[in-house]
Amino acid sequence: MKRLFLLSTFVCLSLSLLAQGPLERRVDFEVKNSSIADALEQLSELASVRIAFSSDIFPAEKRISFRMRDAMVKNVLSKILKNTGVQYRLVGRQIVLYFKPPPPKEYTISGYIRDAISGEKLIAANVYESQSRRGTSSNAYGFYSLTLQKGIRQIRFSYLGYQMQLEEININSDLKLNIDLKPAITLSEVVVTARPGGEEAATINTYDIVPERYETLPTLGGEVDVIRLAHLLPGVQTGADGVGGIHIRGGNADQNLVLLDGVPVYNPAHMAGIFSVFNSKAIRSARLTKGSFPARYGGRLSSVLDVRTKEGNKKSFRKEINLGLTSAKFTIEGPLKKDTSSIFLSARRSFLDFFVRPISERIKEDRGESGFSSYNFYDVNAKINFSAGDRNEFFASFYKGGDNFHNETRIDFQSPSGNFSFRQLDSQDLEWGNTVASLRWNHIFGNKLFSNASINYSRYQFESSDVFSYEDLLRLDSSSLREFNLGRFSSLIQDVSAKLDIEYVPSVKHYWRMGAELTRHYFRPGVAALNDNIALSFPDIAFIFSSLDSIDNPSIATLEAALYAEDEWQISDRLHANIGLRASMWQIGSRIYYNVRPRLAFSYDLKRDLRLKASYSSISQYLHLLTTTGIGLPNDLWVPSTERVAPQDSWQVVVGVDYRRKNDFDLSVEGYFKKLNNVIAYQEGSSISFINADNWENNVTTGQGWTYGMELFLDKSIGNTTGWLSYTLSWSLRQFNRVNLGETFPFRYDRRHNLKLVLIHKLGEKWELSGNWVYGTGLATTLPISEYQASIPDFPGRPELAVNFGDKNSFRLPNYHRLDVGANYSFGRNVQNHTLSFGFYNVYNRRNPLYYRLSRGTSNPVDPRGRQYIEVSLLPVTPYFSYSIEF
Amino acid sequence: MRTTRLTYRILAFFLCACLASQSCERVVDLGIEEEQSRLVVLCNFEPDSLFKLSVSRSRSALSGDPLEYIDNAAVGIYDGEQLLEELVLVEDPLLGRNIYTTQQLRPKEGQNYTVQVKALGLTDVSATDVVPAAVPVTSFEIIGNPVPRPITPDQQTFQVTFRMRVSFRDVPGERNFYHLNFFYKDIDFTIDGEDTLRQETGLVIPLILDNTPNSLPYLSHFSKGILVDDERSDGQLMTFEFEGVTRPVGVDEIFDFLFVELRSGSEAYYNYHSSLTLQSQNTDTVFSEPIILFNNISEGYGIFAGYNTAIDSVKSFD
Repeated sequence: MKRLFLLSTFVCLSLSLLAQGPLERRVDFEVKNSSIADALEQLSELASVRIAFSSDIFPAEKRISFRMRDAMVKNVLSKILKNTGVQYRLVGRQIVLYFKPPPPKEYTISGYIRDAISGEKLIAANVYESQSRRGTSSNAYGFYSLTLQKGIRQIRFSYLGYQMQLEEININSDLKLNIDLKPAITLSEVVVTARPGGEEAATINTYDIVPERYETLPTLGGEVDVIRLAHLLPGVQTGADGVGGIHIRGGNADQNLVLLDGVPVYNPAHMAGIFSVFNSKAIRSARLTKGSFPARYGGRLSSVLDVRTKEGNKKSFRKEINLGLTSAKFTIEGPLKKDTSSIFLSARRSFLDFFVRPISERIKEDRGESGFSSYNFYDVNAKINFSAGDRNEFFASFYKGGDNFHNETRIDFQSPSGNFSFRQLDSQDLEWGNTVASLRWNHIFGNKLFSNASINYSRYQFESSDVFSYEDLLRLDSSSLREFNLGRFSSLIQDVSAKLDIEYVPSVKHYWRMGAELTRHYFRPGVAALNDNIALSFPDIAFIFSSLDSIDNPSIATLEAALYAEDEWQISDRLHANIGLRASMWQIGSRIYYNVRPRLAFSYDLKRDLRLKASYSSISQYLHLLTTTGIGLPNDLWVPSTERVAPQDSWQVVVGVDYRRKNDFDLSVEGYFKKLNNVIAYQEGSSISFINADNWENNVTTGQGWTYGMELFLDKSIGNTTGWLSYTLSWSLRQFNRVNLGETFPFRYDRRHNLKLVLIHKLGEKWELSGNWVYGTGLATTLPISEYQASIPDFPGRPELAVNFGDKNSFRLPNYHRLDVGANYSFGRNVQNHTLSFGFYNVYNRRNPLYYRLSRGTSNPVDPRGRQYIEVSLLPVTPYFSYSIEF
Repeated sequence: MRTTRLTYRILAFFLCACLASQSCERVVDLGIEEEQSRLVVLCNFEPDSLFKLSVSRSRSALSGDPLEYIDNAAVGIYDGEQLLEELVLVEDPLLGRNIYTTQQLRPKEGQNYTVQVKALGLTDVSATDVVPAAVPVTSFEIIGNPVPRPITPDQQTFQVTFRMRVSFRDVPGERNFYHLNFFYKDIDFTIDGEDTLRQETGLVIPLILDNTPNSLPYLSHFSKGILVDDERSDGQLMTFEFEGVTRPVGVDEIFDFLFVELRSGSEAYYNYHSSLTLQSQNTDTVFSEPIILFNNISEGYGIFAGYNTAIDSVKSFD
């Protein structure tokens, strides 16, 4: 009986042990100064499991001692095999040990990728090693860093418009390698690219805009414009002919962070958006990010347009002159000290005043008046850079641009009888513009750490002044009447900031970015000063203006600080992520706002040519732009978040898929949903001319927005015929407490459908033909429907004509469409290159309305004109021509 | 208002001028179906008065037809489904036209009233609103001395400027809307030997307020009153200072008291009058966004809204 009990117990224990996996069995284990092989045999017996190994894989001299109680076999094994390089796996019910050699050592190559001709750094150039399938891209300053395994490696360096360069390198230590790429003889690359190679594989919807190619597209007035090209991308909306600025995925114009060499530009438009402030001859690269932008960008909810200017040719002096119908440009660049320092200078001035002035003089003459109107704009870009060894680069960049408008009307009247005469002067001046400056220092620590430190300045100012003077010179009662009205309106936003960005490549799977930014903002949201009915003579006008100058204009100062960190993480061969966090602080008076916002973006390569992607981003914005009309007038006011006006914020979700057919085309489809909170607008009926630093908060209303839609981008980038097709299906809604009686309404730039087609065809070496056609659902607008007399019994006040508009933006302008065509002819040798560009904007003369207005005719019931809607359109068919010479 | 015009004029001219060589205008048919006329009902009611309504018809924005008042409508005031009184057509001597009025029924505080209006050839309309509770004025005073300013060379006609301060306490825990009016009663006087004879003309004349600072928390109502929203000062003591100007007065006119009328309006009352005020003051240019007019008349246009009143006064000259 006793034997039977023992046997049963043994069987049960054995079954119990067998029921567990061999690695999970528990043992009490102890070794003292044993060899590893002995320890393994001891463990095999104790756990009743076979352990297969060859004893020569262990160093014979190694001795171990330890004790473990009730420990799993796998834990004991790990302890025994620690620091031996030996690993185990379970094969059937047997544990097999094997030796895994350590991975080969890795070294980092790093350096700058440059243009071989000019020495300019190349941004987003690709670096790729095919054997390990590891790659990266140069950063915004042309720096790259790639970690590879020891051995002979073939590394490919490539960049749009440049000849690919293959370097075979025996990597056995960290290496500094600067690469000079030669420009390609023929250009057959993409105009824009939706996926920037190996870098930022998880960044969604980033478009690199390449200057060499957008210069081939049809232009307006011969003015090549980076923002006009952005209009042709999916998800980018604007008003008729560019008026109204850019609206990305249903966002407001103020929600776009427009950077010039990393410094914000607050009004990137000339002529209400018809032209941009970016002189194409000064631009080296531009990148538009409209999905979930990474944590290094902040302060705007909708998009980032990051424009980098040229540094200047470090090899030789080059000059370029461009003459178009609307402007002239002159550019000079060259080395201050060859290969070490360079200077770049480019200036542009418009010719519009030469057209506007004589036309306006003639119009005034026809009215019996004298005077004229004139308008012009200008831009100056300058940059100096200096290399101090391989590890330090210094830059100083400057931009100043502005618009000037003057109008004056004089009337000298004398009655036929001669007993009455008067003279009248009505004069207006408007000036507005941006000033941007930056001092920057790039430093490379070792091979993996890059830093960029900068001090920046940005200013946008709008000024208007008005003089009205009326004087009776002779009256029957011999007394005379004089009247003067003088007014001045100005607004200002000015930033002074310091910024530090660090990029670190800890391993091939990670790319870290981190940084800090501190900005002092100054606002002067608008000052109106006027002097009415002052009986002074004409020469005293200057005196009055000087006294208006001395008016103390109050300003608001705020402090903004931000810290960010992000990691581009290659989780596996197929899965990439960009994970970031941005913390920011805003202080105005005693009020401080804090925000910590995540940015998450993932991409998964389902196949080699098929990528799924998704992102979530949460963003806060402390600045607001108050606009009366939404068409981007220069007197729109930048105002800060305050105690009463909270910061804007948004969250956005994007999902999409990219398909790339090798050497043929890219297809990208994305869906998005974006929620906007705390956006502000003038409450209905606000009198903008009385808004200043003290009262603007009383004139705004807070609201929210919803935007969602789908975008498709089909891009053919290789061959003699290139181009793209973009389609956007979108909705954008707003709700403000004091607009549209608090009801939700369509945003002005809510276009349901938007289609853009771009084609470029190369004819031989000298000719390029191009065309683009755009189509979009008409913008939302508000029109009067009906009216009645509002005269309430027993109520104070005179009868008013009440106009019923229905709901806000309940009408649509006609669908917008336009075809532009152009051609470029290039000739000349290396010493002198000439380019002729010509074509037509709006070829078939489509009248795309800017707005409608209701003409009420006259009160005469037999007036044949009656009441009618008047359509005001902007640009009919417009030819362009420009010539440039580079020498 | 000059700078408002200035900015719009400058910007309008700027855009037009710099685009003049290219921009163009043309008459277009938008293909929008003209809206049929609708009934327009206008009525503000308070406990101390009979219901008085104006009934007219709207016209299409493209129509140049004269605006018509309707004298043959059927108008009734209801409590829910129960008819309280049918209104009759009477002539209003001040307006110089006919209006509809109750003969007995006066609104009561806190009660909902519905108006139903029918007229031949037009869709029936209705609306419902309530009379809110009155809110007393806690203080009313004149700051400093009134400033008379001659406005004619012979110095026989003046305008007098008063700076006034008025306070009242907002009812907490609910949205409230107020309408402040300032006025004086006109008195003529004549010199008869050594006697001064005074005679009240019966005219209640509003003080003219500056209508330029139309910013929260108040809106100027056609230069004659102030509309106030308690959105940002719920339950607080609300104090306002205003400058008001008399109409031009002759040396033979005096006024001894200023009055403040504090109306507590319903939300519909506030929304209609604020939107109508802003619409009337809005510059009619393409650079100003249109003001959406409030309407609480179902299937029609206009306003049917209640209010309640508290009045205080202060001696105008010491």
